[in-house]
Amino acid sequence: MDFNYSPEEQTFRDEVRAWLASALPKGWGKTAFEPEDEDERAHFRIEWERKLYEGGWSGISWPTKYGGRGATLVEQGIFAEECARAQAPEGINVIGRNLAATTLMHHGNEAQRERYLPKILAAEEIWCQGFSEPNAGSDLASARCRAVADGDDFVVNGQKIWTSFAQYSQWCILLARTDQDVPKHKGLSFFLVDMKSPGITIRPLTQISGENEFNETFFEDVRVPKENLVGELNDGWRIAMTTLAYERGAEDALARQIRFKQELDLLIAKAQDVKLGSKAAIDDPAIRQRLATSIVDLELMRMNCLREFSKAIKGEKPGPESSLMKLYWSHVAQDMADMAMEVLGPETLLMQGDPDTIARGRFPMSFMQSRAFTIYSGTSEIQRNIIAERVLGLPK
Amino acid sequence: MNFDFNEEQYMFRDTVRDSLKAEFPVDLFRDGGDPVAMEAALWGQLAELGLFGLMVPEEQGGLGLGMVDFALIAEEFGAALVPLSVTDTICASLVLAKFAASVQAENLAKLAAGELRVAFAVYEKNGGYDPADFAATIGGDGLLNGRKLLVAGADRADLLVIVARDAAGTLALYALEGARAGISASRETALDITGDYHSVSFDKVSVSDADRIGGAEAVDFTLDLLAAVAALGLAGIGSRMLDTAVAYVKERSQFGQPIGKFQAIKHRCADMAVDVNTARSGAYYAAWAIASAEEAERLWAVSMAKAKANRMAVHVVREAVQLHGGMGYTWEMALHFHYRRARHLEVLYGSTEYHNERVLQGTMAQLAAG
Ligand SMILES: Cc1cc2nc3c(=O)[nH]c(=O)nc-3n(C[C@H](O)[C@H](O)[C@H](O)COP(=O)(O)OP(=O)(O)OC[C@H]3O[C@@H](n4cnc5c(N)ncnc54)[C@H](O)[C@@H]3O)c2cc1C
Repeated sequence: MDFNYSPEEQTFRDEVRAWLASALPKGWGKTAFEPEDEDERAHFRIEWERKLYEGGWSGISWPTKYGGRGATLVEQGIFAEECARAQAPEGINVIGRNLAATTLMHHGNEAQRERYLPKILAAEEIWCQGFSEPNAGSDLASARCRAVADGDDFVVNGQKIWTSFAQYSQWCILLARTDQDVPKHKGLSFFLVDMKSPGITIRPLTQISGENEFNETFFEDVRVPKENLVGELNDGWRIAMTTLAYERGAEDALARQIRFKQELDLLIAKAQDVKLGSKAAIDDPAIRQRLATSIVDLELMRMNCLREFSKAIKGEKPGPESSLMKLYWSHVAQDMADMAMEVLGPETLLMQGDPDTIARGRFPMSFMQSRAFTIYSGTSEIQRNIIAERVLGLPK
Repeated sequence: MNFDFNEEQYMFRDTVRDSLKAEFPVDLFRDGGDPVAMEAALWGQLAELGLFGLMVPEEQGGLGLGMVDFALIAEEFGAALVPLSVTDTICASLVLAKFAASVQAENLAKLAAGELRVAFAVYEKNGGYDPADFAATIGGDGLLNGRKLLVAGADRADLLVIVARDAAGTLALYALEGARAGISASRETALDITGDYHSVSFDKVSVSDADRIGGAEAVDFTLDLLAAVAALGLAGIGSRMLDTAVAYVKERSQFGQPIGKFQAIKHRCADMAVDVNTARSGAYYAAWAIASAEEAERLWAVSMAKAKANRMAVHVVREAVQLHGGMGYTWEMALHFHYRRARHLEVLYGSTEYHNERVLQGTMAQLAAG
């Protein structure tokens, strides 16, 4: 056990820091910010991901033959920390990098890996995840969207919902039914679908935050070449479990942790500026306790991730234990977002654009956005079922 | 960067776990065993396993290992309710070796052999948690006066390690033989009945420079060490209570099915598992910080670990009792021994609020430094 960084890791950190300082616009995070318009912001983020790729900072822990850097997960973690320190923009191709790519590494064939992985890293191709359906959310295995073999293709018909970033995506990982006559888990297959295919319609859905990140996605006689099947026919459920283990796992959580910590640091700074009458918010002992509770919660989120990294470096594969990560972080992050609304006084209620807003409305926005944490990637109830049944071995 | 233990550390943990399961089951407490006699029998076994010498330097016959090597053992000690007189003695080896290795060489050699018992005399009535508020003081005449509470196994300690203010008003750490004139221990009636606790009076006890282990730095280190070991012990208790509850709900049937099939029960177990996992992360990090971090990081890490372990233990042990129904409330089921120890560790080495405040101050200092 050693929390110190090796000289090589330090050098890596210095390199990242120097590069970020040169690559970000002047005054970044102080006078220069991301575009306020959601669509402009999405494109700004895609541009940023391309810049990262050109700088050689995409896919730090990926094999070099797929365009990665071949470094360790530890270096990947350092990179994420430095991005947060510099308040660098988030990427938009998270589904490509964390879900599509990791799944292809485990279950794809070599031709698929060579075709898709480099373009994911380069942010040339953005990905979305077509798993959930109107009638198959928590009960994902009951998905009804169908793929029927026809010559060299499968023909897909059905509807997906809550498809994040579909409007920016070139590709989709799709879970579809290929056998109706077997138990529900046994008749699903995993496909890679070109979003430019004829027959795909995307309809935006507005979220409680007012944003339009997710969509309804309709498939009408969409032809998907057979080479776009991942793994074996009807083995899609098992493959999707790998996808979900990464979606809930430590790499995803660490990147989030860093963003949450940034937000908490900002909150602590604001609690020193904002007066609640005669004294600063930070001087209220009850508020101090609440801030400290979130500090502890979030730092331990990082520790949970680092422990998982060490297991992964030892060769342990991600499994149902990743639900321990996801259930934990989603709740402590929600707690923090709730708490942030309760410690800075009345001005907290003012959103971006209002002259009296605090921190450009970040806290009320996060408060709204944080509701999603315990819903996506599997709701908390589903994570608890998984932990109870598959980690603790309680009867089904 | 590596946040894992090595093979030897896991193997040693397994050896200690097996030995405690066989020789020190909680049934002994349930069946009316006298904790003092039980501790005496356990002492020899732990000495045979080489546990007392774990952190004693090799020159004094120890293994010369550190806090990270002790971490998993401390967790097992928590799970098995090993009396705090044992953990105090092992913790003392680290303090004596770090701050007074040459003066204490002889004591360290005895400690490594399992022939020296040490007790920490830290907390006081109306003293709270901050040592700055403790009253025990050595006057200009070189005489120590004060009274300490909840000192484990104090009546038979060969050495008492005490936090007191010196004549110049500085907080310091002293090691005094338990038999020194003016020291008297009186057994307390405590919530935790898995060990014996004493109030210890220091009445005009003559103290010399040779007794001094170190100044404020040694005091801070010692309190951090004790809090980190308490956090590890709480992680062990949480983990044992989770296992016990999970085993029970798989077995107990109501409404024609194992109660562990009810989702309300599953979900509570899942939340316990998340909490135990996270408290472990914190406690392990604190163990590393005791061994290797600078003071500021050590303090911060330890306080995070203890604050989380406190919250976890209160939650997990309460749930474990609840999931056992009426059985959980019986003496016979023996959950209450862990319940008592959990509260003892939670309250004694810094409350959640005390540690929270230290965490916030540490974070603000980090942010101010940029
Ligand atoms: C912001 C956001 C982005 C998303 N992005 C994507 C995406 O890109 N791609 C994608 O495929 N999906 C996405 N999702 C969908 C998400 O995975 C689902 O919303 C989620 O799995 C829950 O399904 P549902 O909405 O149908 O709710 P339901 O399954 O209907 O659940 C409703 C409630 O019932 C509870 N419940 C259901 N079953 C059980 C049970 N067995 N035991 C106890 N309680 C139960 C749930 O926990 C929940 O509280 C996204 C969701 C959100 C909010």
